[in-house]
Amino acid sequence: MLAAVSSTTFYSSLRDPIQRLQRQLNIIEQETASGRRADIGVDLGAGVSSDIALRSQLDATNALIDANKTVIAGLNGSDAALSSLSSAAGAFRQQLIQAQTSPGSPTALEQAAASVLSQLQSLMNTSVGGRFLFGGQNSGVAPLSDYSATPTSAAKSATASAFQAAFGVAQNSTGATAIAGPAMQSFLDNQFAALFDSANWKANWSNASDSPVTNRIDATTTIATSVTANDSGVRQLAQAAVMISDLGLSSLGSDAQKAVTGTALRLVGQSTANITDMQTQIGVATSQTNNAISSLTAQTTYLQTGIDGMETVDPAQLAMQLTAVSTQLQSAYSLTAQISQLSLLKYISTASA
Amino acid sequence: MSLQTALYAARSALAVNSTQTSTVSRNIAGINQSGYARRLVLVETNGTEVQSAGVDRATDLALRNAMLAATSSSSADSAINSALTSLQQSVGDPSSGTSPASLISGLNSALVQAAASPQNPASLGAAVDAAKSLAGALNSASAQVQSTRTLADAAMSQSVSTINSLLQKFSAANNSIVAGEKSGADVSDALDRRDALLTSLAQQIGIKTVSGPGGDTAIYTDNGATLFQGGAAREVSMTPTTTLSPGVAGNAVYVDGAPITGKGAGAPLQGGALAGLSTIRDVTSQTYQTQLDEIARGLINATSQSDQTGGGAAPRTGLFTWSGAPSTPSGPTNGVAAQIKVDPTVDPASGGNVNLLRDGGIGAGASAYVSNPTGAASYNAGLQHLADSLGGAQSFDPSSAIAAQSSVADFATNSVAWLEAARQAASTASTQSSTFASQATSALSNATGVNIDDQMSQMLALENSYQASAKMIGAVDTMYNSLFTSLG
Repeated sequence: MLAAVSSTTFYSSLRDPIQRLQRQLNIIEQETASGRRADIGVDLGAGVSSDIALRSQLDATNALIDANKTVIAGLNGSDAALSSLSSAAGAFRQQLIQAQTSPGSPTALEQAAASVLSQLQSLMNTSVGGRFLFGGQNSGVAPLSDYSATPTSAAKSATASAFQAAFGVAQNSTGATAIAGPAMQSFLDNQFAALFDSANWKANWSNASDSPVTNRIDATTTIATSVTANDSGVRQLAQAAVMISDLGLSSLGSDAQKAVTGTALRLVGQSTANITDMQTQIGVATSQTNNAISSLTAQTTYLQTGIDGMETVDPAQLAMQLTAVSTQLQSAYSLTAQISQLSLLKYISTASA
Repeated sequence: MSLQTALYAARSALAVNSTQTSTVSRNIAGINQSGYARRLVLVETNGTEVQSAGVDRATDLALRNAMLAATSSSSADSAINSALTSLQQSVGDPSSGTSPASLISGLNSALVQAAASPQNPASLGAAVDAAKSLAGALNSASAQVQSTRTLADAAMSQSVSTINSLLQKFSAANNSIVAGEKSGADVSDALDRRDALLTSLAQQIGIKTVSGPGGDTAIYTDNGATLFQGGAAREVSMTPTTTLSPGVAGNAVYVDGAPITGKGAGAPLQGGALAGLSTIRDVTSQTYQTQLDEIARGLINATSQSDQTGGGAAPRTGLFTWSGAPSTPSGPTNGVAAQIKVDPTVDPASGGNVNLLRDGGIGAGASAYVSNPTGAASYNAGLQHLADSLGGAQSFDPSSAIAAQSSVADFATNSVAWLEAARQAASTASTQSSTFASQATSALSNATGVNIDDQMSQMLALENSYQASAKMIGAVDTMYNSLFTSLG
């Protein structure tokens, strides 16, 4: 006897294929809508680890780019502040040169110096995103306190007591007129200069930390991304400004005045050069960070391509699959309809009717 | 040959014809009955008459055994596949970022960003939030694994009671077959019932059947334990566990006091839902739980704090803490994934101070572990160190089935890959074995089932032969009539 087919199999043989095709169709619909594999885990199996690794790398790269943008914001703020400081120092220098060649009113010079000092203080206290840019690691507090604040600042008292100790008189007192040029020069070069050395600066003037902020700008490179208010350029400018504004320039004899303005001019010159150095450091860090951002951005494109390669489906292939599956499904339906017509019963009943 | 003989022959043909007709009717009635095997009336001749020599029931032992085996492995694979799909919820799609691996990467990103603006409590808070999401994901993944195990345990217990009830019914069917065979009664219906019970049994547990004399059948599990022999069903038992916890094995299934699943069994059970469920409960979920616990331990170790005073005190837990804090877990520990959480002293939501993330000294009385004693706002070495530690190599439990030496981030990634690979294999196996089971069922149905057209054409033949026999009786009657008339 020939191998028969049971009616159960005959009528239900298309049930499984139709279910399978409908599942496939459902997957194709989902994939067409999202453009991604419907079930990445089942499709890739263990290969999903590469996908996750690429995604983690992409996350880390994007985080670095964002972090670098924060760094750039700080660097730009520092650069702007240093530019202003540099031009303030330049203008002060002009005034000092002028005062040397044609001595005008010492009071005007005193006022100019006081304004330079307050500019210096406000620029060094620039903050971006709650961070004092020139505070070094200790960026949570303003680096420089106000020199002419009430009650008298530590820095101002230190100046006053050094002056008193050296000359036995207070600044702006009538006795100060008698101070000789060389004596003043010696005071400026020694006792007064000592007030602006690193240790006294930190004790009386600055809350900044000497350690600069460092940031990791790519996977391996860590760079210093700040300059601090403890830098010699800042100290020299402050020294020159205090020299002119707070030693009672107008009440000094002309020799002493010359010693003061001469020393101040020399210091401002040095300071300008040092501020330019600071700007250079910031500029180098900015360009390094920008380079890092460009190369990281290039990496993200590459990583995204890798992720897309694993996760996305080819729309052309999907369209072909869709055609194939729907054709198959249609033939399955029409076969089911035809098979249901095929029954001996119909012919027997027709014959006997 | 006399007219009388012809009449007897025609009468016997009518008798056999009615038996055959009723068999065809029964066959048609059984067309949608699962496990129904078609009958055929055996006809024999006795001199000049025909008579029914009993009813033959179509069987194909080889195909039936193939169908039972395919059914068993299909239901085992489908149990494994659906449990893995529920475990996979703890991972999600790679783009959804809900897996522990993606959340570790999220924590790393948050730390990198915090390192760029460590003075900003919001960016430190974002890192703490990322850490909280990660700890939460591990907690819920661990809970998911244990709930999957507990559900599997309940389903096993359900399966055991189904098996016991099927064995009782099998025993009744088997007894009536044995009795029927002895008395010569038609046992086809009981055979149908017995075959259907075997199919149901095969869905629950992998079985082998051995036919004995007199229609008796014995059932053994596919790893050799006796379920039914000599007319007596054996007791299958399992004590369910209400709540399973990490590392605690569920109870084994026993037949007559001997374990057939778990470590105590000589060979593992191969087929049936029971085998699939016990694989999930005792192997797959346990391994996955070990991986989650190792991820949690790896995180606690990677974020642990070291003594900054030079006093040589032991490292203590930092950002992540657990029930054994302030000590870090000394080795693989069960249930760490369920316990890991962000230390409340660094969590603003619990009244903690996010700056501790930057400065060190997380935890009560951890002043020796402060790495930024001045509280400098732009100190970021600690944050950078944390981000680096997540990528630093550690040793993991070799029983986790993943490379034992890797960073916690890679370990978590490999854990996802392990789960997805298992799911891919289970999905393929499940599709294949269900296709195979449906093919085997079709093959058995083709060999022993009913074809309605075949039955209808038999019916037509029976109609014709009935008509012919009736005609024959009429003809003999006419002949007798003519004979009696001519005699009269």
